[in-house]
Amino acid sequence: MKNYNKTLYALITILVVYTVSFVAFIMYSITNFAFSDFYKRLDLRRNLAAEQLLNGKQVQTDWSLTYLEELNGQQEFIVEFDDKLKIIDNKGFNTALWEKVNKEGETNFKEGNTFYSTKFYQLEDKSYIVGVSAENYFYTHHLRYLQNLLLIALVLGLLFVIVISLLVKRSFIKPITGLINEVKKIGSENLYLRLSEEKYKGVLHKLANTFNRMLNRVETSFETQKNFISNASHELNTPLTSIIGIADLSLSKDRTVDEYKQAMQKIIDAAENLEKKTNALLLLARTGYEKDNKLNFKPVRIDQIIMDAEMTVKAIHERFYIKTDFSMLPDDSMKLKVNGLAPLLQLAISNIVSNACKYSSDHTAYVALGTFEHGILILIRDEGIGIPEQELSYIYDPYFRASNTQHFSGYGIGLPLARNIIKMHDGKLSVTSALGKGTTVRIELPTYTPV
Amino acid sequence: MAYANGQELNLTATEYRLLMLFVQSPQKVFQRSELLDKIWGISFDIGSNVVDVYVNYLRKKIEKVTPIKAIHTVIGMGYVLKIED
Repeated sequence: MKNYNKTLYALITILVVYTVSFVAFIMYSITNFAFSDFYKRLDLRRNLAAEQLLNGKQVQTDWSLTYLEELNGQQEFIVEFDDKLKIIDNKGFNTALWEKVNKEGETNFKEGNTFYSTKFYQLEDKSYIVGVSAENYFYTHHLRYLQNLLLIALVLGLLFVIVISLLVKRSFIKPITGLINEVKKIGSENLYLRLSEEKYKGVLHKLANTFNRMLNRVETSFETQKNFISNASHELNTPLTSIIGIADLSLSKDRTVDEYKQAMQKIIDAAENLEKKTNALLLLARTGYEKDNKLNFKPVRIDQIIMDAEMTVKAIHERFYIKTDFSMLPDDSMKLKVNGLAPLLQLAISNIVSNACKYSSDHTAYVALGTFEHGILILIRDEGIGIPEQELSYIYDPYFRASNTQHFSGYGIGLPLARNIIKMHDGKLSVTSALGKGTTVRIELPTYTPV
Repeated sequence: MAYANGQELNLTATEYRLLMLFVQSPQKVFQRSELLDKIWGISFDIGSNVVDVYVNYLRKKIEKVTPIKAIHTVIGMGYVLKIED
């Protein structure tokens, strides 16, 4: 902002300096012109006067000269002087100016507002200076007028520039300062804040809008990161609990070698499960949900992913029951291929399926898979508690939990996470729900097309 | 990984398990319910038509790389793996 002000002031200064020098140049050249023009006119009159005064006759070589307009305060004079330049006879000449007169030729000079034109004449061994003096009306009146006019214009121009720059400051710099202050208030702890777009007009409105949209993206990725941590601890806890539980139980008393072996096998299974999850979560953290991270994408079979996801859900929750409808599978298995990351897609589907089971009294989820012309459709349905209609628009917000979920444990991260993953795969996830009747999650994914 | 005629078949886990089942007991006729039970297990409620779908996927993948028909349908019974001359 400081720099901006500096630039503005520099511009104003340049403008003023330019205008002043422009005015000065005009004044200078017009004055010059006025002087030389006036001297020419004086010279004409002087020559005429010389003829009259010296010869005592009127030589009318040019009639127009006789009728020359009489200049303001026009006065003719003739000075006779000796060879020592001493004045012998003076008619009408201010002797104080004798010094300025060229005694051997012509002179033009100016004393105050009076202009003089003199010439040396030699007549019958006598030396004369004949001259005419007059006021330069053009110089004293018109030029002064022009000078005043230019000064006034200059002052007005300056005022104009000042007013304009103040206006600019108010209408442009002030809102920018406001914008900056608003932006300064937004930090990691209040990323939900947005700029008040309606306060700004024109380009600044667009700027505020762009900034807000950037904030949306920043907030989403920020939330994704936060989600990752919550999700990680949540997902990793389950197998860890079972590892501790199994180890605890087998150490509680002496057991046979076979029992130890069994326990160890269970621990290995749980640990492998844990490993898979950390890998998936790390992958999620590394890729984020942004679209440009598709380098690791590979064509994967969605039917296999769904089956693997269901296996995972069942391994964690023994009571959960999943009914899978694969009756709509296409004849061509190529139509079941999706370009993506299997662990992430599996994570998304297992999250939704376990939600469906969790919020149903019979812990049952219905999963159906079908294909259409350029895509794959997955429907995950339950007959559970449903989502209140007015809360449907918040379900993708991280940590949001519907008002009817108090009796269910959860973190409000499964669905937003799943949606991010589906979005990352250029897919769509939508939810329809009826309170008390159940919820349907619809996932559409584009079919893999070999390049 | 499974190969036929020296070419990779590129099977999914389910298709691979199905193939292994056939390979371990050639000439044996598998009923649909048996395949369903062995591949998906009783905990998987998936509907019996998937057996046909997946046998079909497996068959197509094999036939893509070799001219030999390996998996045959036994009408009214099920499926069998045998190589006929």
